[in-house]
Amino acid sequence: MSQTPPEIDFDALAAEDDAHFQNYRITLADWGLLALFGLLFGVVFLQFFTRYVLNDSIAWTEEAARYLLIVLGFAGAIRCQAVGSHIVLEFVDKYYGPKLGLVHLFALVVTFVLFAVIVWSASELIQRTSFQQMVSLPFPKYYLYTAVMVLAVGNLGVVAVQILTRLKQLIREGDKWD
Amino acid sequence: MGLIILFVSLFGLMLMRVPIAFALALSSFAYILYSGLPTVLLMHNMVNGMDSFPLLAIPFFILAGALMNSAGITARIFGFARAIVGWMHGGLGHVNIGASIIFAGMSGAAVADAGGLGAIEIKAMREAGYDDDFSVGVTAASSTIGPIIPPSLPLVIFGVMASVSIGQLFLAGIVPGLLMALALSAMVWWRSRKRSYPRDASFSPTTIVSRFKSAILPLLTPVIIVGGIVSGAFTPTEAAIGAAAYALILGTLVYRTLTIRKLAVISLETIETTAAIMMIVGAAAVFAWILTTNQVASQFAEFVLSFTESKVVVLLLIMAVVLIVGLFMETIAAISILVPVLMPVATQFGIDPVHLGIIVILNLMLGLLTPPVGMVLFVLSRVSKVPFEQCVRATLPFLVPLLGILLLLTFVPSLVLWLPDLVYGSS
Repeated sequence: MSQTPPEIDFDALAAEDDAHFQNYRITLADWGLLALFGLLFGVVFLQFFTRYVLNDSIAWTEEAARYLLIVLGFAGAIRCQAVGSHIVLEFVDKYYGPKLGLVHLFALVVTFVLFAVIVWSASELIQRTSFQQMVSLPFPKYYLYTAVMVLAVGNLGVVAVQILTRLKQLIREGDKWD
Repeated sequence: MGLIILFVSLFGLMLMRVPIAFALALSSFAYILYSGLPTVLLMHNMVNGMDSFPLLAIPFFILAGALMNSAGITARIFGFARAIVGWMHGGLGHVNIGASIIFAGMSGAAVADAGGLGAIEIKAMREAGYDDDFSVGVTAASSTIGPIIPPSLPLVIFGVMASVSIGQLFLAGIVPGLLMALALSAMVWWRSRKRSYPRDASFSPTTIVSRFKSAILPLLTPVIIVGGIVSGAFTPTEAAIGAAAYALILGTLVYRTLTIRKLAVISLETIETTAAIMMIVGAAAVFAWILTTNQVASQFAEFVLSFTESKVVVLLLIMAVVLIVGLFMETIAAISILVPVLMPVATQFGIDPVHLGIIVILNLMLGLLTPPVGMVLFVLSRVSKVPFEQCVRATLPFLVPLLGILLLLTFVPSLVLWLPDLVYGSS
């Protein structure tokens, strides 16, 4: 057995991992996201559980899960925007040189415009579907669209703050306004 | 004219660093405005595109993979693979590939494989005296097996975008994934002979048994996922929630390494990835709707048909386009843009959509291993502290066996379709 390699030290690996978890900042809004995610987990698990164990799945769970995922998408997008984890073509950055700050500002303005458009389009959708009911849940369908619209407004707010911060930064640097 | 606006604004915005999802949505909206269509169509199509039960597999496969990555489960898998194939020439290279196969059965993203397992693999290989170039190359290349062997996030997205059964796509990935592993192993064997890398340890049944015992609970995850889907007992979404719940139980009750804080952080990272993907899926639905209602894609297919009738030429053409897009674009975004354009062409030429799905995803995986957007290389460079440029050079030779497998699968569809046909019956 002398040739057997040493066992892997699980504790040392776990300790390395721990630093990442300890330094992670969790805000109040993040707990809201976590609650939503927990709810989604619960609903999908309920669907799974009732189908396999009770052999009779609860009908509303599928519809509720689909809608919750949409809401989670728009809610999570606020966090993505705040921490900058949306998927972008990052490699273009190095071609902009000192103009990069302006390009980022432009991207933020475009994002702002898009969320304004989304809020507008969602409000139209709410009006047009005001009479529609969800299929298996006892709610009108515009509840979903309203949630999406409110979250889009949230996105709009985050982008607005980012634009202001970026503007202040550019003004402080001064010389780039030619 | 409307379509010129669509494509120019799409690529213009992406190059101006607008997130890909928003570039897709806004260029589609510009088209809607130009064509005088009702603006409500933006949200109508976006929400419709996100409203899909199979998409629910995404957050839970991400969660399951992340939970497995923490909790020391990855290290147990590595230990088990080490006992099984470590005795071969270039032992740890084969271990690296073997562990990737097992982990591929739990996680659906190459980046998760590189970030979690990759760190352990490179550390072990370094300590055993392997060159960094070799270690990084094998680790990078083998991480791309992750999204080919089920579960797979890219295959879920492909299935939703192309309206193809995700169960069939998952089954179709198994043989190609194993072929990739085989080709990479051959490469490792050949290079290890040349550089006379050590065998890791002699073959020892007792070690195998003890490592197997230590890894048995995590090893059940791929059994649950792949077995459940192959037998038809689970839909992919059910397999995903099952795997996530199982990983949660392992972390809290069995290994007791999972704290509330850890779970919160892992969940937040999962939410972030999910939201970023959902935004792309929603925006891509609007984009795809425009391409479909305008019959752009079918006109494109007719255009292709006008200068060639050869399926081989078309397949090569598709692969070339996908390869180029994959160099510059992240996988999910690339799928969302390519599928609505390529599907009608494939249908026109009688290319099986399941076959197309596998070769497109495998092709896009090569893009993860090459600059400028090689996500896997970014992650590996970070965890191994090897400079990015060196990671690029180190991975280059390992692209050869992967490209070989890609070509093989492209022209021998039966390798891909054999298993799904066996289970679902020939279509």
